[in-house]
Amino acid sequence: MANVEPHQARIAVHCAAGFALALVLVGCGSGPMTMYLRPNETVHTRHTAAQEIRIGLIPTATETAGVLGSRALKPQGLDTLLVTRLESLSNHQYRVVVLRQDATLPNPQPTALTISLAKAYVQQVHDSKSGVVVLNVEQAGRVSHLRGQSTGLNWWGSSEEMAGALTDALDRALKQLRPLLDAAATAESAQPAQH
Amino acid sequence: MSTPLVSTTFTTLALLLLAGCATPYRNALRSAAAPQMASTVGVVAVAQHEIGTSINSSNMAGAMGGGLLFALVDAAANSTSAKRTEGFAANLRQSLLDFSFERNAAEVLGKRFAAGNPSPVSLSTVVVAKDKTSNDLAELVAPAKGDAVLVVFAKYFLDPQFTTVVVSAEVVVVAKSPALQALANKQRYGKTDVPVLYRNGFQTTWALPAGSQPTDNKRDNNVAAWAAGNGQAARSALLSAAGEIAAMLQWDLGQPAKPDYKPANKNSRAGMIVYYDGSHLAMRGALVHTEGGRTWVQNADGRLYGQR
Repeated sequence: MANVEPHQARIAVHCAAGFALALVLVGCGSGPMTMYLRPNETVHTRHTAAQEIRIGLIPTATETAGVLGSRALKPQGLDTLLVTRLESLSNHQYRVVVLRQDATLPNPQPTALTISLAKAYVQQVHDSKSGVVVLNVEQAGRVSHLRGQSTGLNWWGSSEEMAGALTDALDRALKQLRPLLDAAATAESAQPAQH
Repeated sequence: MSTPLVSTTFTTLALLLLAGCATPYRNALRSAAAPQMASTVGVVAVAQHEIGTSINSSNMAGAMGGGLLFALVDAAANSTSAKRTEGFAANLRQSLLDFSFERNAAEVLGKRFAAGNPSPVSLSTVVVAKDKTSNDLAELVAPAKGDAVLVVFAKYFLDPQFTTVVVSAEVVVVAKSPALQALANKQRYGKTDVPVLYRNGFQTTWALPAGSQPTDNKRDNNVAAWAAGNGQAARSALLSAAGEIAAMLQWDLGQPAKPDYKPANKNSRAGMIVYYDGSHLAMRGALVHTEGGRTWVQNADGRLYGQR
């Protein structure tokens, strides 16, 4: 039998352990992978500010949110997550109220901002995953595109991990909404004084 | 299947072992099939929502002879690299928000393969499929009405330095009619055996126009150059790339099968850069066609590469 150097044995053990771990943890997934997007309970804060900022949310049919390997990612609960996250932007100054709007209806309720989801997906970049969310925000006739992205190591390729990347990307996009909300609040509170 | 960190090392190992096999990837369209392809439907399938990025991957584990520790070091380095690269790409993606590569590619393909074109295949219609990979081939083909279905699985991304737009495509023509199915080879895609009449792989690369390439070659400046003027350079490169893939496909559909596609002699040899996720390789192949300052180089396995 050939002599085996200790470092060669260590490499072999590492490889075998890693391979076993991969087999146990990864499995052979096929078909779409559902990402359950759950609102984080900690962001539920009740604000009783008198001023109300109404956001119109145009629903978007997002059947798939990217592909990981050969599996399409199906987001479940993306609309609800978006509403919850928008409402959580309430603070001591104003309360955010989200109104689901149908753009095809003739007389939508007046809102300070209208938001729609332009992009929401997770993709692979080598052995990392990257969640991306882009929101179209229309305020007083001006449209801006708020982009959030979250890139990190793809540890296990699990649906929870992908959902986490997408949620983080959404939060990063929504952070950029704060100045627009503040501006809307200032504009609305200044309105009565003008009359 | 997703490719998380723990399986990447083993996939790489398997690919290295398989790289030694030199069986042609190309499956030529048989001349008997063409007259029976009265109606062929085209499908452009993409598995991405915006232009992709790529990195030069760290390979310390390979250099050090393996080991989980080095694999983790590689993973951390690659993750940092991916984060920075994705950050740079955001600027360009913003400028391409209203640009759909897949819809443009479908239009280009439809025009190139309109009735009366010189190739053996004409496309009656071309549709777009989102978030689909070659594993979904049977699912994509099933609802299509026609004698055959031509499916293009396309990827579009930037090289790690953001100097080049790369578009790659795997094209498969699947038989639908019984007569064509009799001429097809069964090949496994995902979990289904599919009757394949033709298949090949293509890649085309488009560098930043000479006048707009920043002299310092810094990534943020390169991205800015692609993104300038509402992504004008990137849009133009992506459209040109889609056009060249369609042209290469049209040419290749008329080419006969060969045992291999090595250069016939020294004079027909040419270099090419082949882009993979995480690396790119300089290879040599057979110069098969030149057109408008572009050259098409064929790898020994039959895949075609378009470049300046």
